[in-house]
Amino acid sequence: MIAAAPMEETVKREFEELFREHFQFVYCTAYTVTGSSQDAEDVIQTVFMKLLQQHFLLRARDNPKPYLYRAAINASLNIIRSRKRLDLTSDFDRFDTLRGDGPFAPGDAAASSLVKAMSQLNPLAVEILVLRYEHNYSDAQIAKMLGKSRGTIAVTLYRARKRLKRLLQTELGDKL
Amino acid sequence: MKHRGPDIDELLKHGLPSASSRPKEYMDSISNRALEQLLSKARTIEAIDDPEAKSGMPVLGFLRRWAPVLVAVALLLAIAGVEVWRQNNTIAGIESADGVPYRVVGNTLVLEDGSRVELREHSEIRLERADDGVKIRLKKGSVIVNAAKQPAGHLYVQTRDVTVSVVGTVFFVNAEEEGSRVAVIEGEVRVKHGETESTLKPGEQISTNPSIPALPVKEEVGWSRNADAHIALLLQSATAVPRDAFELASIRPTAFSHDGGGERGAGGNAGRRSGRPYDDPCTDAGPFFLKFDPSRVDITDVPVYGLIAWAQGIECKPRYGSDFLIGGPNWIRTDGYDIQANIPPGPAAYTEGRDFSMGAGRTMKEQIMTVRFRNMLQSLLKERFQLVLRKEIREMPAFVLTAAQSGAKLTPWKEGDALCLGNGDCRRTGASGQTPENISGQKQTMTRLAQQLEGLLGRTVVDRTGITGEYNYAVSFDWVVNPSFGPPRPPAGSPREPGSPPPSDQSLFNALEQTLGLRLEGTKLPMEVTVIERVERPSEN
Repeated sequence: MIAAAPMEETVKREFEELFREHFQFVYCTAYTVTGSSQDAEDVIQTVFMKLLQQHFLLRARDNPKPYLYRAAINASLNIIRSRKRLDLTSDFDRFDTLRGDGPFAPGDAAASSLVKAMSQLNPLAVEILVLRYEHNYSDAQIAKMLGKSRGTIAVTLYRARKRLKRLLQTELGDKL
Repeated sequence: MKHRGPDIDELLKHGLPSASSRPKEYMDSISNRALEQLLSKARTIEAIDDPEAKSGMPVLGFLRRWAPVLVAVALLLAIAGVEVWRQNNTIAGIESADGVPYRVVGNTLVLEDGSRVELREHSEIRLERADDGVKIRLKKGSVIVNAAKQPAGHLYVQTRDVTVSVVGTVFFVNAEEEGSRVAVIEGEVRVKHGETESTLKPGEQISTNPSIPALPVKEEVGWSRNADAHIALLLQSATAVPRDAFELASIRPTAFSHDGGGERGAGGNAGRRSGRPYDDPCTDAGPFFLKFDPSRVDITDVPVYGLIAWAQGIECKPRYGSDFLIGGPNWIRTDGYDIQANIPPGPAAYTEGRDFSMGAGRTMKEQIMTVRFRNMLQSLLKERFQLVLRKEIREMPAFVLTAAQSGAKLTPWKEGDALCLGNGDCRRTGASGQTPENISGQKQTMTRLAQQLEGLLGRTVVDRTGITGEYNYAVSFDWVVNPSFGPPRPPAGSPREPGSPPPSDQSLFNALEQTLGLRLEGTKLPMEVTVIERVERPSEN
């Protein structure tokens, strides 16, 4: 193996604990926004490496979850926006874990357009939507997590759904 | 009634991609893999704090400053694991496949065996496992590789068109759209380009495209942060290599020069005692031109072109389609020189070969120059003729010998078969011969047949038959007329040599296919050529 000095053991242990505690939350968040396992894994690398690089950011030390969540949303949106020209519809087979209990089969145009439309929202709206629909948070929990008032969450959620609907109608027309 | 389908809330509840229901084992495996990658990358970045980077070589500090940004940029772009180095507006990319580990010290990658790869800005490399070592694929740009001693394998650098293999040395590789260049600073490297393999020593370089301007090695490595160290190493390597040289050498223009009367051109030898035609720059290293005594050598009427060919071990074929020694003024091909030189004590300068016919029934032992003697000639040419050479890979006309689609029709040699040709030429190991209208062989390999065809056609012939073993063959064909050399077609009705096979109307190509089931096809193959960059008349004795 490479002949580099070993990481300081305590730092490594601390990092591993933090990683294992928050991995699933960050991964699921990234997967919901990007719709791709590969992209979700890239987001994991980005988010946690940044944390490691900056020796556990001061603001992330005490309460890492909100920091990691925001970083995951931003990194996911960056990935989606960086491949603007990629037609997600044609790549939709990658969405291998769509909810099985809903009316949308994998490959559904509405669902694929939804992911595309999400990337056009502002990051706060995406954060709120993912917390609500992927992680099943209530408005109060979302407000606490993001440090916003419940009113802000409710209004943002309302506007986000409205904008999404408009974007999807433009995309899908009568299908929605 | 218009079908409205599900509303947006319904769509968000059921249509968003979700990984939350994935099995725990699946998530654990992703988690473990991701953590391993992170810790590995962390070690890489940690190497920036390597004490060597702080005090040793003059390393770049940019990675220290930019490392967090770099990793983020690299991962956000998610270019299939490509790591991006950024300094101001310059980017270099590294991609590690097959888990080849490396660490970063300044602008240099350090591989697990200690080999160092310095990247020029805008360069891109990919690290891969090879069968017996590590392969660095240079996609574009330049690298200087300081290869650690490879105990049991090789370090390879591969560009689009060459593969460089080393066991421990310092060298430079450049890859461009048009071709590649390789230069050696210390040690020795082997460069493979297609089927051609060359060996380069310190200060030597090779390019795969003549249009790529060749720079002195000193300038090639000028971009490096360690340029001074590389140049010092280059000078040291050049002087450290013990070079064979003559003790004393006298060089004079041959007294019977082409100005002395007699026929000029058209192959006239102007009354030379060596018998060398005026317009033939090649001389075989036979007793007419080269004699050892053994502490002294006597070279007679050899043009500089021929001397270079001897010294470099290049097959001298300037009038053939495949000319492997090119460039230089015309006088090096016409003006002969007589050289007498003393050979210092040491290993032999020549070995004795088979008996050489001197005519009138007299024979003498053939004298074959050794590598040591070639080195002495190289030193002489460099010091007295100011010779500078450069190697290049060029597409050269050639023929390829393959088995025909219908299959080869060869007669294997067997115990008891004759070892003599029709002309009475007999050898214990078999015999072969060719004239412009026939080729024959007894107990000969396909490689030998290719050599015979090469001699007949004056162009490289590559044996790709894949046929092993020894065979007997005799093929007659219509007279092969080579405008550059070889005897002209005799007038119709001329008397034939006694015992020669009957003439044929078939071309050589058809005759080979019909008689032996072998195809001979013209093509172009990449081959090493040596370019004479500079040469001057010899200095005073």
